[in-house]
Amino acid sequence: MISNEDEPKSIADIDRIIHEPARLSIMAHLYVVESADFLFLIRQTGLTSGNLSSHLSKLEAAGYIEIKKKFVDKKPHTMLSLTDAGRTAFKEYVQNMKHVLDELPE
Amino acid sequence: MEKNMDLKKIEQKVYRESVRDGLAEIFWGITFIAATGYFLIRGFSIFMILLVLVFVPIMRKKLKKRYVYPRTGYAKLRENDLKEIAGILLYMAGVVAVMAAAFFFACDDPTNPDLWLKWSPAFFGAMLTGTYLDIGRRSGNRWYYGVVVLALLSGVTLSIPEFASPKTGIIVYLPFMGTVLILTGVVLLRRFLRINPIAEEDSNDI
Repeated sequence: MISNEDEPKSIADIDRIIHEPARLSIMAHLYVVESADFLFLIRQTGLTSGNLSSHLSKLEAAGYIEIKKKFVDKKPHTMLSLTDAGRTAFKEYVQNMKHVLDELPE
Repeated sequence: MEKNMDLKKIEQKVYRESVRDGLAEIFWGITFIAATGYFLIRGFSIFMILLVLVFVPIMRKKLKKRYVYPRTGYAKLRENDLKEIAGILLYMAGVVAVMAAAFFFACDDPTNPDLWLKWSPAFFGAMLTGTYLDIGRRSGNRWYYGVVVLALLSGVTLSIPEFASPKTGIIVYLPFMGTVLILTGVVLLRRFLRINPIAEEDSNDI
């Protein structure tokens, strides 16, 4: 069996927080915009409201996204955006994944 | 769940969905028709056109807030406004330079204002071409290239004939393209409202 130390560095570097498909989709959509609201992410990712909330909490706990709440016409409105750390982490994740995929035998 | 992880395609999809409500086409159409007044009505101040240019984006924003965002959600796109304005000015300067060069080689007096007025449909066509080529590229939607072809072809076609007045071409072109844009916008808006029902209250926010 190959130990973790023997794995190529890039595989070990794959960010497990981002690697989960739903969170990857959230991060990718927030990466291409400056900020977005909750409904936009539901429509774009196809996640349910509860599922999206749960993944957003994990990304917020990791410091990857910023959640800003405000009231618009007496209704709560939440805006989400990637933090600088989140943007950097996503870029690194994409680079690492490309590296890993390039190294796979055909 | 979204399966496609191509960032370029995601960016195009997000941009495409931000322009598919047809409101931009409707308001461009209104601006074009309003601009006809400048050439058609004596005493029609250019400030009226500027008023439309200021008023239209405010109205568009209000309508988006009322009819679009409750259906699709809101996303602030990553746009570099300064870069965009510089690009538009550079493109306009390029079109003017090409026209000036063509007039210089083809005509005796390239500074003749009537010549510029006669060829103004081609100029407006080139402006719309630039706008819709950019929208087409950013959205990945080939439909916009149809507007490009129509705007440019009709602009050049209306610039070539020798009408009694050099204003005739532009007086026909602006309302024609304005009407085409408004009709296109109305069709897009109706389709948008039909396929995007307002989201249920409880899924609007965390």
